[in-house]
Amino acid sequence: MTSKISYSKLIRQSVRQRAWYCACMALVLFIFLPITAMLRFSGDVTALSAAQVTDTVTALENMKANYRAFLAGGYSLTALAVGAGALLAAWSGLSYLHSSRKLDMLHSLPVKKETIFFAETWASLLLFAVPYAVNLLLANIVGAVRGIYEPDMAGVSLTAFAVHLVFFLAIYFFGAVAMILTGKLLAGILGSLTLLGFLPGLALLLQQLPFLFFTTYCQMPPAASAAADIAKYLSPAYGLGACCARAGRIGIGDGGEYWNRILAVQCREPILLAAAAGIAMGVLSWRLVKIRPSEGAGRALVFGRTEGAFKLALLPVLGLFGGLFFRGLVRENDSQQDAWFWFGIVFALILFSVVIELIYHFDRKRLLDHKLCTGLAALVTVGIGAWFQMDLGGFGTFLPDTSRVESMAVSCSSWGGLVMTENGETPAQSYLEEYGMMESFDPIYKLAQTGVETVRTGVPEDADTEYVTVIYRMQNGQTKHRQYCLPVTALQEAEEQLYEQEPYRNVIFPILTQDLENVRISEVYDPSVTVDLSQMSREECVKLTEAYQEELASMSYQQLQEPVLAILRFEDLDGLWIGEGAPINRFFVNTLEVLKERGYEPDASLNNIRITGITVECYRENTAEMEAVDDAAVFSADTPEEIEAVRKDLVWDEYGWLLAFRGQFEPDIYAYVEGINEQGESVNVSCRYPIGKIPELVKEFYGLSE
Amino acid sequence: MIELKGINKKFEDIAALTDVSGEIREGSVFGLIGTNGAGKSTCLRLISGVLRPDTGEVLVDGRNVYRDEQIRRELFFISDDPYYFPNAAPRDMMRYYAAYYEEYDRRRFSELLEKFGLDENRRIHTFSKGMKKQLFVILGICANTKYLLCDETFDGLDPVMRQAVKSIFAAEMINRDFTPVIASHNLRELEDICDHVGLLHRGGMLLSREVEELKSNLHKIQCAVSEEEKERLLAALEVVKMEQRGSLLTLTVRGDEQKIREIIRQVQPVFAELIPLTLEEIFVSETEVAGYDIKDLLF
Repeated sequence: MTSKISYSKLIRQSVRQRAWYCACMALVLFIFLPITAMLRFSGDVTALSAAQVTDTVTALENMKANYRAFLAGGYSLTALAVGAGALLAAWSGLSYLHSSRKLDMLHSLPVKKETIFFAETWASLLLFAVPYAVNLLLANIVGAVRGIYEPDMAGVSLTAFAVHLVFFLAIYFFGAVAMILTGKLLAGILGSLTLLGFLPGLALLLQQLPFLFFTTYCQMPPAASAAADIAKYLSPAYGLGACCARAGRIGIGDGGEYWNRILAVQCREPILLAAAAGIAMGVLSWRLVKIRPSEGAGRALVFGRTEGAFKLALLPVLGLFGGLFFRGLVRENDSQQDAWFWFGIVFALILFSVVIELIYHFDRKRLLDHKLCTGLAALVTVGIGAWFQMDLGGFGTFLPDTSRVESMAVSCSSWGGLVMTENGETPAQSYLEEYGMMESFDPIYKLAQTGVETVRTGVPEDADTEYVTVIYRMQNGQTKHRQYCLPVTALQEAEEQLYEQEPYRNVIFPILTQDLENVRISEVYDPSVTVDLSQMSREECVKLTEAYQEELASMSYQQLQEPVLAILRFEDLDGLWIGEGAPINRFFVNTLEVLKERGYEPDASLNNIRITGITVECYRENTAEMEAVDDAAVFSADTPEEIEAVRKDLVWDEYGWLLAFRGQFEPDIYAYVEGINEQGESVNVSCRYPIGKIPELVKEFYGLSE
Repeated sequence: MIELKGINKKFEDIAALTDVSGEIREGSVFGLIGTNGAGKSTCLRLISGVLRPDTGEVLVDGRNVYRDEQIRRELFFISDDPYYFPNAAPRDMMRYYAAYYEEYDRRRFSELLEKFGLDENRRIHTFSKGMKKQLFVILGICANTKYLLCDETFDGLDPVMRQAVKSIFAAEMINRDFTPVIASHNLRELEDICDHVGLLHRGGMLLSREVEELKSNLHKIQCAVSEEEKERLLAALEVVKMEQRGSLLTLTVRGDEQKIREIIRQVQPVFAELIPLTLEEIFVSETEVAGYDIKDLLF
């Protein structure tokens, strides 16, 4: 039987025919691996020399960490070479499927079609893997020669090599399916890119549409980054990019458990999904190549029936992207945005319908083919566009009857990172859903009613507003999120009632829900000094945290409005912040006592600072200044007289997010104090002026007195 | 034996072959003729297993050639525009084919190249069109397959080369079990090579016969006879076609040559002559009998 002999011979023949590919990959990887390793090393050395670094041990460790990250595939151009190499391998190795001359020769040979296909696949893998392995070895040698090599780096390199081969094969099989389905190289290339980019594109679209059109749509993180987060699971190309980014970031200051950490953090799922997608596409390729008719060479799509299906799938996505593109060209909040959105949809539908037919047939007489599919696609596009643009589903005005709601939670945009729990990576909603759901939700429901009303009628132009996220937990178990733009006055009215409820306090003070054993205290600070508490004993830490938790839990709303004396910074055991900072005022008697035992007494006044300058910024007159504050447009007090005149009524601005504080300070005016504290350290303090206390100098400078 | 059983093949909406059936027996040089677009290349691609018939099947020695790749070891297909690797030399192509055809005769390949004056190390893209065709015939012969499928391979070969190829075919047929199948639109070029022909027209097989049988059974007579004798003559002969210019009568008749001569002698013509028919004329006559006016179609 010929099978085994021919198979290896086929691979050898393919390798021989595509030596150019191997040479190209060898050259590219030579530049991206050993040469880049050398350049990076030289760059690091030059930077260290320029910075006159004295801690050479740490510097060397950093260089090793950088190098480890590089070997692990943390260099974006290596990842690009893997992705591009896989596609190029698919396009070149399977180009025979697009040539009737080649098919006449190959398909008349006494071998199965699928044998030829898999021989080409093996040849592609070999042609890529060999130069990659050689250049990776060279890059390792560069590290060894330069003295930044560690024993674990060989394992890191091998793992990176294996992971990259998984991505290579996954992307290769996506390209292979496209090449098998098409009969022209251009169609094959476009098809490969479409297969790899369609689902991420769709995800981006589905994130962008509600984000742009539903005024109450609430999303954390932003649409583009949310789509990117999902995309790495939807396409091996994006997965490769995500793993590369992650490998590059995690390499800093890490050791032998490098890949374990990478896999544990973010790469395991993309790698596994890429492997699964690769296997699925490989099986699909095998099935398709078996049934693919040889006469398909020269046609855009080999299987005629897929023409309509592809058009139907692509047109709505392209049409909606076209609409968003034109909408994006118009200024934000321009009344013509919607008109341009619809123009973009129509334009893109016509343009891409024609382009698709042109790719299919390259015949101007057939530009209007697939009328049914085009019509259906247009209907779907218009339907989706209308659904979002006209809010046909009533998303923005959603307000369920109270009988359908089990509990509600609220979060205010001015809280900033207050309820972020994991280094900013866990959205506030997760925390709210776990700790902030209130069964007595009347104040929140009223806020939601006001929010829906503002959706219908609009917010008064001169009103001070805040964005508020409201979470509904429905009786049927569903959770709905909405974001409303509400007047601050409405929020202030609700705040006191909300404060009476424990879940609300848990939300605004995440420290209240923490287990004492899992809390560390990193520091306490006031305007003039920051005291490091990280070296506190466990007992002291527990004692202070316990005292603070008890006093904070029993703090009344009025007591909380007392001026803040100092801020405590709590962390979890991984060093991630627990909330923004915990305020201490004069009612935290026990907390202050414990701090006093450690020798710290807070002082929120600026009396302990020798002020060297005060800068006052004003954003009141027009918002454009907020975007482009230059030195000439900012008031700066530098002389002792000016400083004295300006500092008089300044109040430390820390912890100003409580809505009750709104209205106590002059809006849109911020002062920044620079000086030297009693320890001789430089300090910068952010301050505000109480209402009616703007110094004359500042008024004159900004023309506020008129 | 190659058998085509009820083959239909469409390319999108165009029917390339419609219900084609036929046999190609071993030990003959089979000529597949037909006009451009008649379906000759499609037919050869089906026989070589490149294409799958929409309906029907192609059997080579009783095995389905599309499904059973092992039977394709008995076939070598030379397409009308054969592919060769970029920058490949004849020796590279020989090595490539030798990887698939275990019986490949490398020594004979070198001998034949030398005989045809082709350099085995010269890049194929520098060859003339005729030289490329010679090369692929040699590549195919040396594969030592039972069937050699040649699509328009002889078109453009000069008479000397055609004769040389013919003699190689003859030698191969003597030495081993070898059946060339040659597709062409040019009857004159096939006439001196083929001993069996099949005519494809508009996707269907009009006829398939031995050339000798066709020639021995069909004759052309030019004679001058009186009107009375003419009627007698026409009644006695199996006339396929008749033309009359003045008193000169040109007849294409079917039957045994001796019997025809005897009938002519009996009517005592003023003048009579039996003229040999070319393959082209035979086909014109045969196809007209079959109801096709292909005069304008064949060259």
